Amino acid sequence: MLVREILYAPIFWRRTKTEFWALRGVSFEVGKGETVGIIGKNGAGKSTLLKMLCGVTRPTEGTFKIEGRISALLEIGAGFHSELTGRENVYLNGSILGIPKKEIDAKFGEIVDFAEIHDFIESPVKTYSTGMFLRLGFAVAVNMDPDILVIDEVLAVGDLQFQKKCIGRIKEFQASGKTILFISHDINYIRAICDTALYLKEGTLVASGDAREVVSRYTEDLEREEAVVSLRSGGLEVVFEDGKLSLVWQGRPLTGGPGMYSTFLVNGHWHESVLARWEVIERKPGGFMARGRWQNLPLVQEWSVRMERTDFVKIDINTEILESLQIENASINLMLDEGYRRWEASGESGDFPREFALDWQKLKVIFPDGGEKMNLGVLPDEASRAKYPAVSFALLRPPEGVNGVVHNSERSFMCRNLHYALLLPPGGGKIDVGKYTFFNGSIEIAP
Amino acid sequence: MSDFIQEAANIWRRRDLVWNLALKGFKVRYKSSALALLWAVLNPLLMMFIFVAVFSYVVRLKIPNYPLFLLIALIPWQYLSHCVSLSPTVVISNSVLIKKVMFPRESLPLSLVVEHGLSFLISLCLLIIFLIAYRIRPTGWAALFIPLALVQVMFITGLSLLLSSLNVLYRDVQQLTEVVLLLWFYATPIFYPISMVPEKFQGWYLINPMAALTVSYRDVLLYAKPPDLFVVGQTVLISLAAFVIGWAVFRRISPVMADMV
Repeated sequence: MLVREILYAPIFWRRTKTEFWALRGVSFEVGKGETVGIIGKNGAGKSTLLKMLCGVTRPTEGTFKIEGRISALLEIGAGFHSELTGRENVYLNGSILGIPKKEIDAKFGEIVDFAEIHDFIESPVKTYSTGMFLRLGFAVAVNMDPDILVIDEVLAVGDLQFQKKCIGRIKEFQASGKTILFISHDINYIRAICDTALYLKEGTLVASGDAREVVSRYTEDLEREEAVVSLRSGGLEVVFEDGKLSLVWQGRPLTGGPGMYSTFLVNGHWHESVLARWEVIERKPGGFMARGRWQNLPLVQEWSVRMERTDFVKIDINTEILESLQIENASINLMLDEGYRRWEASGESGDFPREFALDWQKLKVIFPDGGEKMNLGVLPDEASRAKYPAVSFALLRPPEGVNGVVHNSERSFMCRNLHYALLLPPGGGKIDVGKYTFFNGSIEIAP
Repeated sequence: MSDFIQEAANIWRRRDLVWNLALKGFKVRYKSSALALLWAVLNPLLMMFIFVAVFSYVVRLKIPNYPLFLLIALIPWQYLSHCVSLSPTVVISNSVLIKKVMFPRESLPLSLVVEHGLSFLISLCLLIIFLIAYRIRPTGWAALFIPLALVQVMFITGLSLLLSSLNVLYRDVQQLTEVVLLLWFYATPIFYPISMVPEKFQGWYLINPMAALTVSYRDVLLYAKPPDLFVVGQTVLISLAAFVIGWAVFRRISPVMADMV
């Protein structure tokens, strides 16, 4: 018995020493074909839950039952080796995930297509850009054709381009009737793709059911402590979260994807506000001020948002450049739900195409006409009038060199896009250290 | 028992994983070097020359064909020594995988055994060249080398499973193995013949499976005679025990690995 005791003792000893229940008393059921979002703050037990479901760790007590092949994506590119080529890593990773070689052979082309690394598939992974690495990792995991797909907060590591690509793939899964469990910090994604949601807090389940209701319960909680602000007035709710602003009208999201966000093109790469580190520095009734530090650029933005009337949101954004910088494009985007059918730009209007194309479609470009403001907007059609109030996105006192554009997004985003950009000389304009006005404008709702 | 069989079947189903991990380890070791895979041959070759030079000219023992005598012992020893010194860290160094992906955890130590098994095979090819160079004519007994080597593989596998899992609980294991390996090297008749060990201790001495295997390898390859059956039988039992204990311990610890790496 001695050997046995020696082996048992340390396990028990360590367990009792650091007893902490990451998750306790959580019961739920997920039907086939459902998409379930799991939300909660860091340390709430979300990841532990998924880890148990895919067998990485075992529950101390309690049981669960899974029917079907489960594929877990807890971390993108876990097990990738930087010295090996893309191809070698695909096969190695596939075999770690338990995909038979034949299946990988069959899916190889699809994986490479998704990752967009055709020319690099024979190069070591260490030469890949972050985006290539993430896309390849994601592609391997989702291509194993599971019945149940488990995804843990993997979108947060990539840029918008990557996120929307993954979301597109996730939607395909949904459409083919697969079951999805999805962790995301991004409540917009949860709202957009999940039917139901689970809200975990300190290891217990505090809310479950309709995704939108659970999300709003969660944002209420978050608001008190985190970089999330929700302003409400009448039927309109404006939610700020980590560098994006979304609009919710009577419980229905009007914005799509990341909502309103700003972005800079530097050295051929887009740096979006959603990737910056944000903190809310001031809160007052009907307004807030948030400050975000870009992670890869010497750049800080301050967003001041005020709900001046129940249908009018004033937005002022300043940019502070900390080191002089070559910027090729600076723009602010408002992404709106596909339910909007018509656009409006400085008095002109037109229809959005019914279908989303493979690429972004520019529908209208406007320039400052010397007036006090420029205006872009979206309108519902007769049928959707009740659900979608008209939204107008205005730029006050437009400076020279600005243009406003109405876009129809590409297929995987499925959004209408209103966008103001500062035109800079090709190759970029050098911006000196200092504080600049980035955007003075407003969003107005007309039910 | 049926548990064991089921698990063994599970690992067998995933044998491609063990193979791919081993291949990865092998490739990664040589990938960025200019001579690449040539090192897989060059490395053991240089090692052999150094050992042979040191022990032939510094430690002067009157043994016929001494370089061969040494290599026959040294090559299997190096296989064990590589596996034993790397096993303790093979699980903890793959913590990302352990925490994020479900796969049979056994495949990590097993792949190590396979990976260094490949190096072992390369070294064996070199050994055959040496045997030919020394005009040693193999007899039928030489064929016994293969089952003997398989016993060693079983022994090493047991040790790797044991060390890789125990080190998850106690990081002391990896410190300890370094010291124990050094002691073990001298306690195995690698550069000296077993006849130098006092007769009355030899029974105890041969409990060490590496001592027993070394003596047997020399018997079948160099001295063209059968190995001592009792010693071999004893070694088979000890290796089997090492394998069973190693796996049992690994299975006991593997459910908590993700929490402890």
